[in-house]
Amino acid sequence: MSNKKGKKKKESNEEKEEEFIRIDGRKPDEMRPYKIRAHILRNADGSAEIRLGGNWIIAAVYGPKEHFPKFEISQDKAILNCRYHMTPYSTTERKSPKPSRREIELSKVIKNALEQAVVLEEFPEMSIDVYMEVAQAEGSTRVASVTAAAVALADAGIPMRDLVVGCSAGKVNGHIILDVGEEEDKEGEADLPIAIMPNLRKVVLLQMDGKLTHEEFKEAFDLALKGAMELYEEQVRALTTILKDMEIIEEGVKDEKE
Amino acid sequence: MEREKGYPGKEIGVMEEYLADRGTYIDWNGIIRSKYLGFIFKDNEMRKVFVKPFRKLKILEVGDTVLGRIINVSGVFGYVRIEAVNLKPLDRDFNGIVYPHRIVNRIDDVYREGDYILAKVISKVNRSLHLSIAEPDLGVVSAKCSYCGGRMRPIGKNKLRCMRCSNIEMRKLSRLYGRVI
Amino acid sequence: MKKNNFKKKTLKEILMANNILKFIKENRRLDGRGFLDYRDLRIDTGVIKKAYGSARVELGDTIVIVGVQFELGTPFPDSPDKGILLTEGEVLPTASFSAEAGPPSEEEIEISRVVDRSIRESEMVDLSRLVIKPGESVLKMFIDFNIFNDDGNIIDAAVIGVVSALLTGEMPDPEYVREHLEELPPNNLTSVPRIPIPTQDFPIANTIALIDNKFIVDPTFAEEMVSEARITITHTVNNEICAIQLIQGGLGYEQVFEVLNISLDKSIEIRNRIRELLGLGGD
Repeated sequence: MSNKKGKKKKESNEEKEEEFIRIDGRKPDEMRPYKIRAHILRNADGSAEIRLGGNWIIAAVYGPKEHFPKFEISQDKAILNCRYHMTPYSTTERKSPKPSRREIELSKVIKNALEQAVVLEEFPEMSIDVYMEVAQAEGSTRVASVTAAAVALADAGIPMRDLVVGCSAGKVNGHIILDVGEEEDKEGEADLPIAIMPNLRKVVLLQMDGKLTHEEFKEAFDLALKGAMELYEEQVRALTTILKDMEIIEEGVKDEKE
Repeated sequence: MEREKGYPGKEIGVMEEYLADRGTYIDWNGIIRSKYLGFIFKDNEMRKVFVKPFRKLKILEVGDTVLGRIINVSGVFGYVRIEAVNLKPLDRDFNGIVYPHRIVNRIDDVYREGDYILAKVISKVNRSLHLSIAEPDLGVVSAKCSYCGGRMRPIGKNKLRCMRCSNIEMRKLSRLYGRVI
Repeated sequence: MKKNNFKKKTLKEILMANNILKFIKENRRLDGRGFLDYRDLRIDTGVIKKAYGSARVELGDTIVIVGVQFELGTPFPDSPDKGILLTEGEVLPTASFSAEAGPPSEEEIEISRVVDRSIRESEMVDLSRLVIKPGESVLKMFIDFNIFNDDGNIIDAAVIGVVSALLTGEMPDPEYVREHLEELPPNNLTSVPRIPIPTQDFPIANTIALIDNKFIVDPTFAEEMVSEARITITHTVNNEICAIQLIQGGLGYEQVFEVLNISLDKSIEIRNRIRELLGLGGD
């Protein structure tokens, strides 16, 4: 319903330059509605889900655990296994459940992003598995996945230097926009997904396709940073909520006093 | 001591102010940050901060009592597949090595392949968990007769008799033999 | 706090890492280059007679061979008036001791997708000129690159190779194919007269590695192994950014812009060098 409205708005606004309204009725620097919940799966050591607009991604963490096969182990730190996977029903056209080249590439860049944050040195010769399952995809899934995965890792009690939070920016019809949606990804001129460690001020995932001048890049980058900081607040909220919910905490406090 | 909620990356203080203890680290700019999701404790008398993680990792620590099965004996070493920690079943595999508790002539008199043992983790160096059975409560808690596979019943210190064929075997028995599994 | 500089794995790697780090600290590199110098570049084009366009690029000891092939195909339903462009690459088992035959690894897939993005997003090939009948039949363009010897910086070398092959290559004349579509033997375009490949851009990829908080361009295999961060940026001929990939590690916010500026300068330099080597005048 809101979609229709957005389209109409766009048509009527085509002549007016000053106020650019996007396909789904958002302002250029507006995020889609988002929600993160931590600890949603019972069996996993840590888990989280994120809803970012129509995106729905579930992340789970298992580990640290003994790594097999033994010859692959690294002696001074843990191995981080990442799998970004799209379920067959996540897109309008059925996606083959077999991992595509795109998914393998994204698994790799997400792994690199999380590796920067997780203190892998504390678990030599072990491995940590991170699974990100995209239940519904609607643009910017990689940054949403990395955001959920970071919450799941923190939920699993794995030591991390910082959380990792991602956001995307792009360019549609000459306008720099925040949080690229599905249609905007297809029709837009450029797409810039980033993931950062917000406290350490480091970029850990940076990809871009499309054409941007250096000035536009700076604008898009700053916008994506702003969006990421907004999502970071939500990450913190999700994590501190489970901290409140659990009774275990009180036990923990007693332990400490003894 | 005051406490507040901590999460990875949260700034707790600066290096000059506090001593960074467990669960924290110091970043490149000298800021103390939390490593875990948990509670931050600031000890203003001792000038130190630590973070108590609110979820315990499912990994074995030195001092844990484990229940496992001997899957192979090579020389005097027994290779143990650990199935429970502190009598809580595990959902993942851990492997350890157990040694006889004292010098023995025959390793068969201490443990054999297939026995369930209760042991304590004494070290985690060199790629494996090293287990010890040198305590009265530790040792074999369940064994099968090596001839007929029948159940064994303890008949004195470290001695077992098969309930089916009356074969007598030796083991390093735990005081909890037959009561754990 | 203990600083973990390297992804140490074996003794060999630790030794190599220490050597490189020692040199970088003294503002030198193992092969005597400056931090912002590329290795010697050699380009031979038209090396594969059976391909429509081809190039052999030597960037130091890195050797890449690129071939361009064409086929008749049907366009994608969402872009009926555009030809199809596919870029794929593989690191051959000949490339290094650690390279293996078999299904491509994560790194190989990433390399091939980054090169594909560089060519596709810069819109170097005018895909609308590959159309024979809109919605029915188009030319499918296959660009394949293979790494024969891997001494680091595969992506830069591959993009240089692809660009050289495209600039000097030919393609079957779509006009001729349109007129003689029935007479042509199926899947055989050899008898078709050829025209130059319609190119409209000149993308250049630059890989920059961060070692000991210093940026170096064109890292060798050993330097890649010890680098803390590595990023590839592709610029178009109009100095626009058309692809970025943070391959490894992380960068500070300010470092991102530093890297962008370095790569812009380098892309202009490399583009001119390719033009010289290929004998193309500046435009």
